[in-house]
Amino acid sequence: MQLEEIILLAKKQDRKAQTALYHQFKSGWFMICLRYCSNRADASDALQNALILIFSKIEQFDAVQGEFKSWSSKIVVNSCLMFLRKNTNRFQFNELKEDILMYEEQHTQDDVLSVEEMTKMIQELPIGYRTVFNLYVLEGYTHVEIAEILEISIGTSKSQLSKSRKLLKQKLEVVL
Amino acid sequence: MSKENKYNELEQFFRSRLRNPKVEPEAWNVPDDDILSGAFAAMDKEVKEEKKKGFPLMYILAPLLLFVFTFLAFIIFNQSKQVENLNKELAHIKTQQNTEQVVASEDAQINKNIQTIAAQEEALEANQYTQSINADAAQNLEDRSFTRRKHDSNNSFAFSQKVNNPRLDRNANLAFNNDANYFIGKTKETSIVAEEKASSTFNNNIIAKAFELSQVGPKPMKPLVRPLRILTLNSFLEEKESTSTPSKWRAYMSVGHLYSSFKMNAISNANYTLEDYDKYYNGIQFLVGSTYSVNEKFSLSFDLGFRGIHNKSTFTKINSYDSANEFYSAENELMYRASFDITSPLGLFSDEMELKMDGIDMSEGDPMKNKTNIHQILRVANLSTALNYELFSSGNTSLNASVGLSFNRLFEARHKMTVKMYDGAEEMDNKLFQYNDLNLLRPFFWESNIGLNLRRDFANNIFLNLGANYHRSLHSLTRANANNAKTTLHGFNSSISIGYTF
Repeated sequence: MQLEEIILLAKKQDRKAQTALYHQFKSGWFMICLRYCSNRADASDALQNALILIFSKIEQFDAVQGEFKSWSSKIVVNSCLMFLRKNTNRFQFNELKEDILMYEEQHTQDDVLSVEEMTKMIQELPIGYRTVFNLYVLEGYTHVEIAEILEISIGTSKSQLSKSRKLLKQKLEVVL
Repeated sequence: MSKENKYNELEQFFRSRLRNPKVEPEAWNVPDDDILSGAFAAMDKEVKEEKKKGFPLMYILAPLLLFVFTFLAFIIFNQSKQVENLNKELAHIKTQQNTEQVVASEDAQINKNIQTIAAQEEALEANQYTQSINADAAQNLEDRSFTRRKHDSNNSFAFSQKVNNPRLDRNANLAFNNDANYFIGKTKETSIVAEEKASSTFNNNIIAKAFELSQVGPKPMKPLVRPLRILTLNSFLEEKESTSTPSKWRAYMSVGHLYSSFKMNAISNANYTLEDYDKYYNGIQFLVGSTYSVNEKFSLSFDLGFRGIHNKSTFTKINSYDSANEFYSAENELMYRASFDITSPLGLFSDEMELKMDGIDMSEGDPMKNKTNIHQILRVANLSTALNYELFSSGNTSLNASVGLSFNRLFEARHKMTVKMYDGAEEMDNKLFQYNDLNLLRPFFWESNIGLNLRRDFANNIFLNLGANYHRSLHSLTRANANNAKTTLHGFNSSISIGYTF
């Protein structure tokens, strides 16, 4: 069955079609959740919320305006942000301490990092760094947009990104 | 992507590896299986909660509507009763006033007549007095004439001549006057007799009239307890006299026989499948309601009704024993797999069951009979309102067209069946199955209906109603299920009912 047909049926709340969509995109959606959340359990919860949003809002999807993958990814990102917002009182942008900076050498010493390892690196960033890094680097938002989304100042967004870069660089240096 | 986040080696590295990564599903990037089922469960819960949010509204709305209608009906009924009573009182007072006016005018006439009579009596007395004086004068004259006759007895002719010719004697004038007075007196006397006679007749008339008026006067109070009226068949069949003014509100109750057809489209679950089916059922219906007459042609009716539908049916199926088909062995027992099509008020159900055939020595081609008894029950209460239009009316018979809306509560929708297996006359096995159709259906639903009613009013507020209507549910009756089957209930009802108007 073509994706268009599946989406059409999913719009009619057909459970089989929704299941088919899930199986087709679950890996990509889950990796997004893993990048935003610090552990697998949180990522699973965020994904579940994202699924509910995707299936309930799928009627709003218009194939002319873009691909389903990018549309659904945005929903997953938003769902992750909502999850983080709900489960932490507020984004803790000043939580970085020197002891966290100490990256434990627990990764493989391969020349090339796997997607899993890179995802884990991001996961291990403090929540503020992680969120800004994900939004800026991987989702392509500007600092202005990030500031608006996270309700922080542009300066904070920039500093969080800078610190996340610094931390990731340190991690990469250790690994590589 | 903006220019500002394009150029950074580290970012570029992460972006190239993590944006749209092409990785095979592995344990780390594949979510657990229960995430999807958890999402579906959460979605179902959300739907249920939304329904729960909406459902109490229906719960509240229906009794509220009932309450409002009943309250309004009660208020308006009471007011119309009061108005009716006031109208009656007014009519009664008007009658009294008219009677009093008649009496007053007749009293005035009587007084006038009495005054006239008094004046005439006075005149009569005066005349009598004059007559007595004249009589005295005449007597004196006669005495004198008698003296003269004695004195001049031989000349009677001359005397008479003198009397008859006043010019001959100076007394002649008196004689003339006497005669004249006598004539006048005679006439007067006749007139008075006539007058007295008339007066007497008039008085008699007054007395008669007064008696008559005393009879016409304020009506005597009706007895508080009505005399017991024995109802007979003839009294029932007598046409109701339409002497009273029609009331705006009329309450009634009726009980009748219902002949109904239900039709439902596909509904299914794991146990059985329901297909399109048409079936007729008998039942009873009980109705209490009220009608408000908007004008001569239009009326609104508010009914609280109850429909109970039962249907018992039996069907027999005869098969031939065929070891290759429908029969199989399980745990050293011969089993018969029987499939059935079951009719129900909600449609046709298909089912399959297994019957044990142990201890029976069957040969190929032996006749096998299975008999299925089905008892179907459907109970529905409804609160309905309808706009009625009188198409035709003649005497106490009227034909009305109606269009309405009803809120239904499905109390019971179930069917049970007993399947018995026979080898000849011997019962081999039987099984009882009960299905609660309410598991699949919403207990509350809205219906619209359109119909015709022929009504005939008899004496003693009894009426007979023949009705036919088409009804259709306004939404799906199926509970939310995985298949999202939509089910509408629709069909024809014909009813005959006898009722009583309050």
